[in-house]
Amino acid sequence: MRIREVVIAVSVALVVLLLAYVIEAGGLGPIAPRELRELAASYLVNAYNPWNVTQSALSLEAVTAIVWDYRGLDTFFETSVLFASIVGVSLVFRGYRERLGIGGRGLSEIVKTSTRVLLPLILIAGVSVALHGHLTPGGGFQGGSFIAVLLVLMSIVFSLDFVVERGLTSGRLLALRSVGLIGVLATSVALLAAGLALGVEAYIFQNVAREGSELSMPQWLLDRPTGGTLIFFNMFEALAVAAGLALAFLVLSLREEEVREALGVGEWYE
Amino acid sequence: MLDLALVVAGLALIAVGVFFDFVGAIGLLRLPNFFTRLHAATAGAIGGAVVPMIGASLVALGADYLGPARFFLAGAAFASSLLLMILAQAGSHAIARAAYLSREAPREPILHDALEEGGGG
Repeated sequence: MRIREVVIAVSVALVVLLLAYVIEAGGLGPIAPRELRELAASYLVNAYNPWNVTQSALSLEAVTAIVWDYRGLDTFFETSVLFASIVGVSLVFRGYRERLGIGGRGLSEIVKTSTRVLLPLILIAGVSVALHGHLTPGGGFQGGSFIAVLLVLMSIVFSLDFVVERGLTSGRLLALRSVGLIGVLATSVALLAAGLALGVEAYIFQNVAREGSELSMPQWLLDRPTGGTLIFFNMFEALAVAAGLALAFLVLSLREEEVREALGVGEWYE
Repeated sequence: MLDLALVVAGLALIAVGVFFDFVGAIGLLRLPNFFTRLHAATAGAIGGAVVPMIGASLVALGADYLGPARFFLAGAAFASSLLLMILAQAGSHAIARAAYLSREAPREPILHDALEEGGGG
């Protein structure tokens, strides 16, 4: 029995080691293919291409250029799907209101102190991931998820009362979520509205000058590229995602007293 | 000369990390109850992740051929090790406290229970 276990352990370790050597030596083919397909090459060339602006998103990060410019409408509906699910959650728990003074008062002092060190770091990381979405990997959804984690962590470590007392009630989170989505909507039709006002042609989800339309969002903030609409999209998306995910967590962590209240309201509706 | 010293010191710290990971893995399998196993896992997290990450940052500082990128690598590794040092113990503490207070994990074998004498924490 002993020997069998040792043999199993050593052979597993050997397999991992040999596999690592084989991959390192290129035995399973190159890890990343060296030739790009035509579509990928065209996106890479055009994502930031100031010499051919009508094809370009003027974003240094190709993924964000694709997500919020080339297929912006698709992403808008993705955001709306998340919003619809949040609406569904708040519909099921209509009449839900946070009540103070029930439930725990958070974890022990050691965890609270460590979390206090961490909270501002998470906030800074989330905001910077969202605001640099057009420059570095990341973007609105990722940054917003960071900030939602912050709220979830606060409600677990410091208790739900702590979060609610600081004004983050479910009603306000829903309002923030709506503000984010309205911001996304406004950004997507901003140039169209400007075009209608000025009497020139413009497109929905237009970022920079396109064929037949000279309108363009501002590309530079001081000496930093902003990617036109992309920085606004990322900002509002981060707000919407953070508020939406935090709201879903807050509503789904409801306590028995709150359930009864919510059920009473539901019966009143019926 | 300084580069070489940095690389050697970093590799020594990584070797210390390997030792702690090994001890932590054995302890996780062989120790008698939940709390002692959690202790082994945390020793693996602090000694086996924080220390070698500091070592990795020293190695990166000493690696001249990386150019300016070595400062980014060293800074990121050092910052991650600091964060992990703050957080690994907090997580283990929260888990151990929850398991103790809810009596989900058997406390035996136990020599002295100061928390029980102090009024159950």
